[in-house]
Amino acid sequence: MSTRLRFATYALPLVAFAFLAALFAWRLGLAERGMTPDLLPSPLIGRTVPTFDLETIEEGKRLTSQDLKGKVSLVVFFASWCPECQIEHPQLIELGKRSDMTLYGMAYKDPSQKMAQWLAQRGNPYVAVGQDTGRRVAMDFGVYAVPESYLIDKTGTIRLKHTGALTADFIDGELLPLVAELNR
Amino acid sequence: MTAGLGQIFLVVGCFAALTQAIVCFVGAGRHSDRLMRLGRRAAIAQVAGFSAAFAALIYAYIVSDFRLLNVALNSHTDKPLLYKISGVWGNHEGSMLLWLLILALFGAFTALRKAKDMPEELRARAIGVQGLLAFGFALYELAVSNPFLALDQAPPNGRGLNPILQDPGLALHPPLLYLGYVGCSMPFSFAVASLIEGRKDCAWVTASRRSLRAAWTFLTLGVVMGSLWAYTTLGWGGWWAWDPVENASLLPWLAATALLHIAFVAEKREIMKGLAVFLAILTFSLSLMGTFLVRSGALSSVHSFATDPTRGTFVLAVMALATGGALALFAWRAPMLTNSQDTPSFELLSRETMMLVACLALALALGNVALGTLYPLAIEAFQLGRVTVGPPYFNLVFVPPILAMAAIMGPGAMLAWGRGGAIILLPKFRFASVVGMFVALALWAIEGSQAFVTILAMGLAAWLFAGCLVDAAERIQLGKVHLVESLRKIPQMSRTRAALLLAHSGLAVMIVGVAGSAAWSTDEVKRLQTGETAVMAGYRVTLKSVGENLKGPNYSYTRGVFELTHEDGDEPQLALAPELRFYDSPPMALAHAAIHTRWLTNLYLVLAAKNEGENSEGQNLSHKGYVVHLYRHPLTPLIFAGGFMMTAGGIVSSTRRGNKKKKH
Repeated sequence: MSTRLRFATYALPLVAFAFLAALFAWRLGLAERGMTPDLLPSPLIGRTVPTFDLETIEEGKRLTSQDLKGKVSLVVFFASWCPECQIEHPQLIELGKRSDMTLYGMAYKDPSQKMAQWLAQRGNPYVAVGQDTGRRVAMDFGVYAVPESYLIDKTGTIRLKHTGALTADFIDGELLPLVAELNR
Repeated sequence: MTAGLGQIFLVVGCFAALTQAIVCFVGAGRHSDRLMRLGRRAAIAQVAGFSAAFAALIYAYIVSDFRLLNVALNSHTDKPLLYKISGVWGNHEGSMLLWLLILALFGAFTALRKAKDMPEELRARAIGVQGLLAFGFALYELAVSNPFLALDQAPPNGRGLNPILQDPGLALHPPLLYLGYVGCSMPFSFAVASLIEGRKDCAWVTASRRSLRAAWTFLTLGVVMGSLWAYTTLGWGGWWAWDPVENASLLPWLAATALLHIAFVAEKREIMKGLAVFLAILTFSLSLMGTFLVRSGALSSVHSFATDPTRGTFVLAVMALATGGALALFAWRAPMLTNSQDTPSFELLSRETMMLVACLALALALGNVALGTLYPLAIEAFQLGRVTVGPPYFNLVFVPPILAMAAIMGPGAMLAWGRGGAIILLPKFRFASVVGMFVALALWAIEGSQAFVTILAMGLAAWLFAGCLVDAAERIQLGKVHLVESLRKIPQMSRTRAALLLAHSGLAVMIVGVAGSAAWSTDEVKRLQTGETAVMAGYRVTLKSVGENLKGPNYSYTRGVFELTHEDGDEPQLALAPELRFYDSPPMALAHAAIHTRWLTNLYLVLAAKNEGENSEGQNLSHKGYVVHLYRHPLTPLIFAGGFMMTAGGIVSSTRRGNKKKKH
């Protein structure tokens, strides 16, 4: 083997590794923008919101799927026992101040007094908080884990879904642009 | 309080690691004993820092201190103490801390050893490389994976550990695997140190041999335990799914196995030195990939309980420095490792050639698995859509090279260094060949030629196993001297030879298990109501009673009591009680199989689900009752037995010989 060829052989692993690292870097870049490989698009995206009729944490008031019609709304499944919900809450308070979308909460497996107390301490961005004690509605929405948020357009069609705490990147990069588009 | 203390300990460990790296490199460069000694002390300080941080985290889990975000996300007051503790490494941040601690321990182990079998500068540089690694990952821990982040207000209770992880077997699985993964850092560091020094000898192999053997043993045990756990707790009737995370533990194992053998050749015969260095780098790089990249969102996996791309990017950067740096060094220095003048001559048919060929087969298997694991990524990159590579691919490309390897291992271990001679004339070779042929022919007569792969695998396994057996018998002079005398010779056997025989025969046993269960397993599904009987897999299966909403330590469960009688009535009745477990925090259902082992066959009964008698639209279904799976898994216990034999081989290789002095 000529010397040059031998040196080239020894450099081969480095080249292969560089290629592999580039591949990983590229994929991680995608994952960073929310496109994780295990992300399956929710089958409900593009479908009408499941029908529901729930008691809210305010006595005597009800929250139904009819309430969502005619405006852009964000439905958030959350719970007072969930640490990530605590993390995303300040973001929701900010979103609650906006006029181009209405926020609805869904208390996931959470007794009403606890939830009311939790919201009283941290502020309540929601127009109404439905009590999904039996998890029935969560199942219909296909909730995987709380917190999970769904963006619904004026016709009552689900347009966007986010699992896990809302991040600033997601809100500015995906949620708000879509809200603006849906209000146009 | 705990949060603050833990953070401080972590920083202490991080600084100790940096000091260790700098002082060791400078000390080795100046040949200063004083500085190198200081570097070794820093390695010990690093252990102190990380173990204090780890202890602080364990404490926070035991007292359920939910002010720590990490504890709140992964623990729960209702959890049994064992799972509170194992919850520490059941999440990414905590497991990383354990990873760091083990890395520090291996470094300190090397620092504390007597220096007689390694040059002082080489050791100092190796500890320096360890320090750099630890520093990189400690920064990672502090920057993006900090387990000591505090919440402003503690939630009333935690979210609980992933129920899949709440199993005694799995409590031990990650630490074992980590000991294996991280142990591979020692050969890596010594190999890199050797490249830095520009050494041409194999002192790095001698110096890191014990760590490598320990790492290989832990890795073997970790992979086998992981598989055994998946088999008993996940209730899907299989023991290996070719999932990326499983592959990620198999890849370093394959590389470490190749390294173990090639490093041995390099040390003994002063050949294949470049290959040995490359394998040392590859093994640890694959370990890094196994620990991090699959968990970072770059590859999809059923184990996706910790994915975060920001971390992935950080890890990729550290990995690029470690692996990329080592490979660059390799490209620069390794060509000098081979100089043709002093290569000892050897014949084509010799032990070293056989080892090289077997390791090439192993490398082929490794490459194929790596390709299948990374293929979806590449396909996506070149915009060809998104795919998953399934078990059919892996079985097709993994089995042939492994069988080829098994075919070479038998004669390879019988040959002498340097010269082949007429192996066919060796009585042990003849005996093993006859046994292998006999098994293959007998199977052919029973199964017919369409079971070609099974026949080939069984024949090769028998050949390998018989070879090991005869070799052992010959070495203890069985039949030539009195039996007692022979038995007394067992502990006096060369450790390397004893380990080889155990591990090789373990592989043979495992091949029999894999081939048998792949060829002859059956799976039947029936719906049963209480009191009903169905005939499945040659058994009359009766669902005697069902208990619903029973309370386990941290789950509720449905338990079905089944009675099985063999159709021929010649076996005693069996009572089996599989469970369907529902975990509450977080919510999840798991089928816990009931397994009965009779001879070498497993009966594997699963209570899969309850059929309410109506579907989601409220229509009545004709089949009401419980969905029951009965699998028959012939020879499956041998898979795990073989794995444990290999582990035993690893343990034996780390012990010292009975009374005779080692001769080299």
